[in-house]
Amino acid sequence: MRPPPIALILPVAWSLSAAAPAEAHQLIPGVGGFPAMMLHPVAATDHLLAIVALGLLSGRNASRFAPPLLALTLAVLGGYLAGAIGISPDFAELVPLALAAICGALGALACRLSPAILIALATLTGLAIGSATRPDDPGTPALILTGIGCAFGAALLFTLFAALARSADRDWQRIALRVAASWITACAVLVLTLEASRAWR
Amino acid sequence: MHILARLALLSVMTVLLATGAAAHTGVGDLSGFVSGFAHPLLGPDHLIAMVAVGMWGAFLGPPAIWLLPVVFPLFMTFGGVLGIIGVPLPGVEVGIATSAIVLGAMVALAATPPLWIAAVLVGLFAIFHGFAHGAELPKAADPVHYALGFVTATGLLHLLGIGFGLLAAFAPGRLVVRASGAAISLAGMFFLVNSAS
Repeated sequence: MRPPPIALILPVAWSLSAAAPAEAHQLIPGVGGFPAMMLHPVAATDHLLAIVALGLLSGRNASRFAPPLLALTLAVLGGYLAGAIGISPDFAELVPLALAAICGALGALACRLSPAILIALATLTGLAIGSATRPDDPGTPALILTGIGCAFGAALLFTLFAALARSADRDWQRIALRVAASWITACAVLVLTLEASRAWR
Repeated sequence: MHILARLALLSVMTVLLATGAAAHTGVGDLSGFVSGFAHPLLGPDHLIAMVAVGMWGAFLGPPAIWLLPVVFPLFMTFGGVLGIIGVPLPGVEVGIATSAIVLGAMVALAATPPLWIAAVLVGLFAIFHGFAHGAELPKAADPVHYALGFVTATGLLHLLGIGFGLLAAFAPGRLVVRASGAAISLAGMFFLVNSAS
């Protein structure tokens, strides 16, 4: 898969950056429906970390990252719709962070993964993010539209970081990606531990 | 670097920096990305030890230059986990001060031990730094952003140390880097004395 053109990347990066200050796991004030859900994977930092880790891993591993991209997109949509009708475990909020930790660790260790494993990770990540995202309008038409928005946002974010990882062709760039992946793992493991210790107490 | 990669890198930095600016603020000092980011920067003992890790990595050259900054956050996480779950780790402040003394001395002496020894040493000290950060994490109103902040700041301090350490490629720069290592070691002794008193 060729990296998307700059004309596409620039507005995406701009919109993602502009959206970032919004509160995690809350819809952005003044923005609802499709745009809000499209920005949700960025606004929720745990979801952002999971997608970034998966994107960096896929970009370094797959010569074509279309299959994991497709798996992620469909899984986010499926997970979102499943979550909306109540098929979502209680610990769904923590699963994206757990997957961020796993993908980050695999990226930090520069593991070579088969396409099947990448697709499996993308599917799990998508399901986790989708089911942990709560729709603001449970009506069927709005639900489908916002679900598509959430999947679209996740797909754009994944594409951006997979393209970044794939274009890293110098040693220091590959090192920087590994360092970034190790940061994601560190952050995710710490927060997971904190949540686990709170639940334990 | 391809322009696409530059744009994406810029967006990564912007996303990370922008996320914490308004996220879950207004609930005290220990919240959000900025608080986490400031934690290693406002602790001079943390700060000089992080810079020393980068400097030593640059001094040792590849693969240590990238291995040490990857090893550090992973072991720091282990220390952070101990801090969060409340496992007692005696002498945390002493360990942090000692890390500055030892790592600064490694740079000052231009020590080039086998890579695994360097990694073990850095990993060991990372546990103390991680413990100190991790102990603060339960107080944070927004743990995700707080953790992201201090991990990012730690990594950037390594990067600063690497950048400075690369001056060692030149003869006068090598002297400056080694002198800075000695200064870090001395500062570590000061912190050690302070922590003991």
